[in-house]
Amino acid sequence: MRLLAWPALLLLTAAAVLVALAAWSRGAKQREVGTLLIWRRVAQQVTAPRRKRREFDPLFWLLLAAVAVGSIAASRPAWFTAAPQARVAVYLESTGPGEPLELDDARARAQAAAPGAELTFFMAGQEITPGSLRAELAQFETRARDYDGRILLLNQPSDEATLVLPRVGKARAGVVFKLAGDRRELLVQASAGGEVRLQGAGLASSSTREGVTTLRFEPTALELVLTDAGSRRVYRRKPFVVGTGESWNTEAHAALLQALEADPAEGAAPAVWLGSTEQKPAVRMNTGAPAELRGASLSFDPRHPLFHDLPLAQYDWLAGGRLLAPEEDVQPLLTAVVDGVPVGDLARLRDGGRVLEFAGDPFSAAAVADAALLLDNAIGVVAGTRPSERPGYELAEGDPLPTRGQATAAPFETQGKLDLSRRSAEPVEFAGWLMALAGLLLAAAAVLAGRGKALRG
Amino acid sequence: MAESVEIFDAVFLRQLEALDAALLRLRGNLGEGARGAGRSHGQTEFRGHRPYSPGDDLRRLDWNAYGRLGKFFMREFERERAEHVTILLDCSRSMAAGTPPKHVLARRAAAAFGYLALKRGGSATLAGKPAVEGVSRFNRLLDQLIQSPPAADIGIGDQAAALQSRGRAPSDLVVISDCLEPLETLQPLQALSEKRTAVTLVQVLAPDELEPAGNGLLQLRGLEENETLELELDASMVEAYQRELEKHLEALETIALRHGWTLALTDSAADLRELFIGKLLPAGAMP
Repeated sequence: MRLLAWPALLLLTAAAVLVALAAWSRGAKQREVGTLLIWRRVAQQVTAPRRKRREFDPLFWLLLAAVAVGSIAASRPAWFTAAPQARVAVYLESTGPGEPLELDDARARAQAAAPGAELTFFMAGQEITPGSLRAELAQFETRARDYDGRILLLNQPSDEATLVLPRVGKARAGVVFKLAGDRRELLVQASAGGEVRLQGAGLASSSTREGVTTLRFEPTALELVLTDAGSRRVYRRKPFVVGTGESWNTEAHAALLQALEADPAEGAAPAVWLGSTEQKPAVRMNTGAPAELRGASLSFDPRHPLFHDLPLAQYDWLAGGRLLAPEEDVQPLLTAVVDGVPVGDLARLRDGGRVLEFAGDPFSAAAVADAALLLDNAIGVVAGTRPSERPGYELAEGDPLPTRGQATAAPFETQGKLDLSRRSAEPVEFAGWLMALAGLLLAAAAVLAGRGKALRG
Repeated sequence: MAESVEIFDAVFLRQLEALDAALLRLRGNLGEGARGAGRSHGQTEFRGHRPYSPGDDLRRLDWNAYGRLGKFFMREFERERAEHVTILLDCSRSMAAGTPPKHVLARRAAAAFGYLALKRGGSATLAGKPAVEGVSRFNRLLDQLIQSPPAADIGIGDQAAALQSRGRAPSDLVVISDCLEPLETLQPLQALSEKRTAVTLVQVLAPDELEPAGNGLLQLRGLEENETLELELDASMVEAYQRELEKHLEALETIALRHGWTLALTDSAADLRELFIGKLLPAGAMP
């Protein structure tokens, strides 16, 4: 029954109007007469006031009934009968990107679990938006609400409240589901029992535990080729090239550059320049003029990325005795203040944040670890990414890795059970009968109205 | 003048002529045709004098009598007495009621009485208005009737009292009214009768005053009183109304009989022919 069907609402409105009209017309009707002379004599004869009779207007009630029945009919009421065949929704978990679908086996298992039922399959990427298993199951629950039963074909056992069947017919082996690490060491994890090869890296160690094999590699090339049970993937490392200028020339500077583990240029443009006075983006030093900074204090915003995780107390910013004169169109990051008045900058950004200038050389004077942290932050400010955060190897060819559940999928005992006791019902509408009744009522009202008019005539 | 078009239109004037002809034929059949047909208008036998009344035709003023007696006297002729008709039209608000409204037939009937009198060489006076003589001046009477809508505060009793207060009572008085007022108000009319005024009373009632229709709770607004009365109308109530109306009509008829009035009751939906030939003629009125 759909009360929101517009014809029903229209007719209900008509019924409301009819009732309002009846209520309105129920009051005393006004009539003009020449004189009340005779009427007053008649009224005087009525000694006791007559009790107001409850008027029964059959025409009104017939019309109201017709409109009411018509509006119910327009809302298409129906009763429900049990469907002859159970309808079962089946969720198929993905076996992973690029992995074999194994649909025939899954379908056969579902049909065996619900013989005679009408099965409807739901898969990520088709009826369901791909996401985590939890998100996909939530979507499935919503879509399968009107079905008589639900079956889940999952890669791993689950304690869901419905029938759970294994998604795969045999255990998967040697399927990599994780490759992580940096340019010095890579960690590869795969389902146990298969062969995993990684070209461009040397195997350092291997161990297997709870069905998962963990492999440690030491990369030796910028490009790695991962081959597992059924797929091939290529990973590449994005080179990080650093250029140096004329003022980046001390041993401390060289040590810091080595600690960055920058890649050789090999024709690639540097991501950042250190000590250069002309290239951009750049971190420049000793750009300030000698100044007397005794008694000065520092003003800076400790939340700025330049000071991220930096042990600020380890730096003696004023010891260099250099100061950058105030300028327009620059962004001061570290300012010297004397008697509450800014006298110049110790560090600032210019050229839209692409050049970081230091009045002195904070790298040579600081401890190596502190200097490395400051340099890491400084490069991050001008280049957008700190060297410590730069990615190791990235997938260049092939499908993304499957999830651990997909990679370690294996047959398991059937869980839960399929309850088809509450069979969905099919609607049987009887609007036609109601429409016919409304028509009869209207016809009766028309006859009554016609007779009334004839009598009055 | 939209109202005049509606009430006194060309169709109405043709009806008047037809009515006149029909009445002449009927008079002939009744043996009175020679009375009007054999004489020219105005050539009548001198009957005597009567005191002057405002509205009298000055052409009939007897200047010789004025020179000798210092008072105005009107010369009266036998025919003139018979053809001079005074019309007392009820212009009270109750005449506006009904479908069709009562005042329409009332004014048409008044016009017909006047027309017939003028056509027979007499004169017609609408009470309170100057007399009209000669059929060529019939339009004046129509104008007077047009200017008499049903909006007055006074009834026929008051108008009759005004007539009575005049020095001389009219000889032929036609009263057109619904007579739906306390019959005591007709006392002045009765007094006029006693002065030998021949009274013809045409009572016009609306169809729904004769037979009220409808049922349920009604709020009646009396045009005459400008008041309301709420009652629940049903068959018994309609019966009671008709009983009371019958009583009222019987009382009026009794008065009419006692004073020798010609009384004709008509409903406002009737036409002139039906009124004059179907009602007035059988009742003894010979317009």
